[in-house]
Amino acid sequence: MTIHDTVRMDSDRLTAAEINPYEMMLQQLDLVQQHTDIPGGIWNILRRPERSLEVSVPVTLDDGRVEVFTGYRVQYSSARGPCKGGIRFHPGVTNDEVKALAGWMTWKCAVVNIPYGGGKGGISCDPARFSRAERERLTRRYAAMIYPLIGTRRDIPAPDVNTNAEVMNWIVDTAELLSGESVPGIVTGKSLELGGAAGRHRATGRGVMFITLGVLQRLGRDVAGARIAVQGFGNVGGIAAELLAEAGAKIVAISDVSGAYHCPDGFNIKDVMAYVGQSPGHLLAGLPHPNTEEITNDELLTLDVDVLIPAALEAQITSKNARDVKAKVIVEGANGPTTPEADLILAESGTTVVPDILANAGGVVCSYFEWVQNMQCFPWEEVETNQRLGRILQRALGEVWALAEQRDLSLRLAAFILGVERVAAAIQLRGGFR
Amino acid sequence: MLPEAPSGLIPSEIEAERVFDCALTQCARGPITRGGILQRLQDGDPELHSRFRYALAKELSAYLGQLNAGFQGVYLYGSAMGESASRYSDIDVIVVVTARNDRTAALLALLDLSLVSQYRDLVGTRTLPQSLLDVRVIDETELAERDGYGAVLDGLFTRPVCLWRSTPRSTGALHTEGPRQSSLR
Repeated sequence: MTIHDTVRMDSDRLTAAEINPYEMMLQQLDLVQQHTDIPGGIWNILRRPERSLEVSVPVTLDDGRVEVFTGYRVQYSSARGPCKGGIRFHPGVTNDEVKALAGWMTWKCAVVNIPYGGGKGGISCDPARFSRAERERLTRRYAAMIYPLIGTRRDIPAPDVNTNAEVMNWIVDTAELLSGESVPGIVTGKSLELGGAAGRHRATGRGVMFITLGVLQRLGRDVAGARIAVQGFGNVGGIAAELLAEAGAKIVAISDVSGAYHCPDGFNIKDVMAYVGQSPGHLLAGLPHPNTEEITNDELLTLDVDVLIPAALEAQITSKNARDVKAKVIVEGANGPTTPEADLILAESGTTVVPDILANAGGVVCSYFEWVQNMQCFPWEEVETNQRLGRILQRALGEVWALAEQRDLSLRLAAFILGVERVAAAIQLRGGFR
Repeated sequence: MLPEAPSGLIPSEIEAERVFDCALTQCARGPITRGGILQRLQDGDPELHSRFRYALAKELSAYLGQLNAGFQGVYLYGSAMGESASRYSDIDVIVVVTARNDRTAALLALLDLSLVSQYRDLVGTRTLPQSLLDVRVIDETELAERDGYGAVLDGLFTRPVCLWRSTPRSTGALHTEGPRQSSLR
C-alpha cells in the first residue's frame, strides 16, 4: 500500500459521519502500524490510555442553584515522562474526546522529544454562561477532584479550549492549599507572577517561525524575499509574521476575523503591529497601509506565495479550495487547518505541508521549559527560552524530514510515526511488569 | 419594518429590541443588577462584554428558531466564548440553513443593522462596531460535506458551541464529532 492509498483510505473513513475521536485516533494508529515493526503486544498498550478518571463537579451558581458538571482527566501514557496536556471547558467534552486528545498529546511530545507523556482533561460545560466567580468555583472544585492524579512528576495540566492563565492560577492555588506546599510546576501556562515562563505568549508563533525557516532552508530557498501569507494575526500568526519579517521574509498577506489584506510589496509588520495595538478590538479592520488591497480570507489562502501559514481556525484548506492553493509550502500554525481531503489534493500537487503536530509545538515545548524552571526554582531569561526553543524545534524538524525522505512519506505521517515509535521504544525499554 | 425587509418575515427592528432586552435580563442574574451591567458594558469590562454577547447570541438563536424560515442551527465561537470581548468585538456565529437564499441573508443583515445601532446607543460608541454579527451561513450540503465553515463545526480545537438546533442528530451531536483536520494523512 502506498502512502497515497493510506491517505485515501483515511480520507474515506473520515468523510463518514459521526466519527468518534478516539476511534479516529485508533485508525491513525492502524495506519502507523503498517509502516513500523513495533511488536503486537506493544501495540495493545499503545492503543489504550493508562488511566481515565471521570468526576462529578458540583458548583453553586451565583443565584444559589447548584449544578453538577462532568469532568475528565485522562493519562494516556507516562512511558516517556509525566503526562502533559491541557484542560478544556466545552459542552462537547466527552471521555472519548479526552482520551483521543491525550493520545495526540503523547505523540506530539514525543515528536519534539521532550520528556513527557500525554494527558488531557476537561469539563463538559458551557463556559460562556458562567460569571468569573462561577468559573473559579468550577475550576477549583474540578482541580480538587482530579488532584489525586495530577502532580509535578505525575501529570501536568495546561490551558486549552476556553481555559487560560487565570484558570491555571486557580488550579495551582487549589493544589497548594491541598498539599500545604508550593507546587508551581503542577500546571503550566500560569501567569508570570506565579511562575509562568517568560516568552510563553510568543512561543507558538516563534516556533512557527523556526519551522518555516528550517523548511525553506531544506528546500534550498532563501528566506530573504520569500513571500509569505499568514491567515490569523493573533499570538501565533501575528508573532510568526513579525519574526519572519525580521528574518527577511516578505509578508504579503495577513488576515484576522475582521478581514484580509494583500500588499504585494510586503507589509511593514511593525507598523501593522502598532496599528493593531491601538485599534478597536485590536483588529486589522481599517488598516492604513500603502499599496494594500482588501481581499477575502479565501483569496488569501490561494495567493501565489512561497509559504502559506494558516494560523486561525481549523479546516480552512478544504477539498473546495485546495486545488487553488499556490503556495509551495504550508506551515500549519493552527491546529488542523487542513482537512484530510485537502491534504490528499495537496500531496498530489507536491505541496510541502508541515503538520500542526510539529509546526505549532512551540507552545508545549515552552510549557516544558516553564515546568523545568519551576522544578529548578530558577527562572530563565526570555532569550534563553527562545534559543532552546529554536534548537529543539529545528532538531525535531530535521528528524521528521529525514524519516519522511528515508521512507518516502508525507511529513505528517512521518511525524506521527516518529512520535509513536519513540513511545513504543520507551515502553519496551521499561521491560515487563504486566 | 425596514423597507427592504423580506416579505413574510419579522419586523426586525422591534424584535431586535426584544432580543436585546432578554439578553440583558439573562446577564442580570446573581448579584449583578441590570444597571450594574449597563455600567460595566459602558466601562468596557471584557468579562461582561463576552457574557453579554453570549446571551445576545443565545436569544438571537432562539428567535431565529421560532421563525420557521429554514434555520437549522446556530453556533457560537470567538471572543464571546471567553473573557476577551471588547466594546468593539462582534459576535461570531455560524448559522446552518436548509438552503441558502436571499431571504435569510436579508433577514440576518437586517437584524445586524438593528442590533448594532441599539448596541451603540447602549454602550455609548458612535460609529463602532460597524457590525455586531459576523455571520457565516452554511447550508446542509456544506455541513454534510464539511465544506468551508461546515468543517469548522466539526473542529476539535476551535469548535463552536451549539446554541440552538432544530433537531438533534441521531448519534452524538455535531460537537462530539472527531478532529478530522488533525488526522493522519
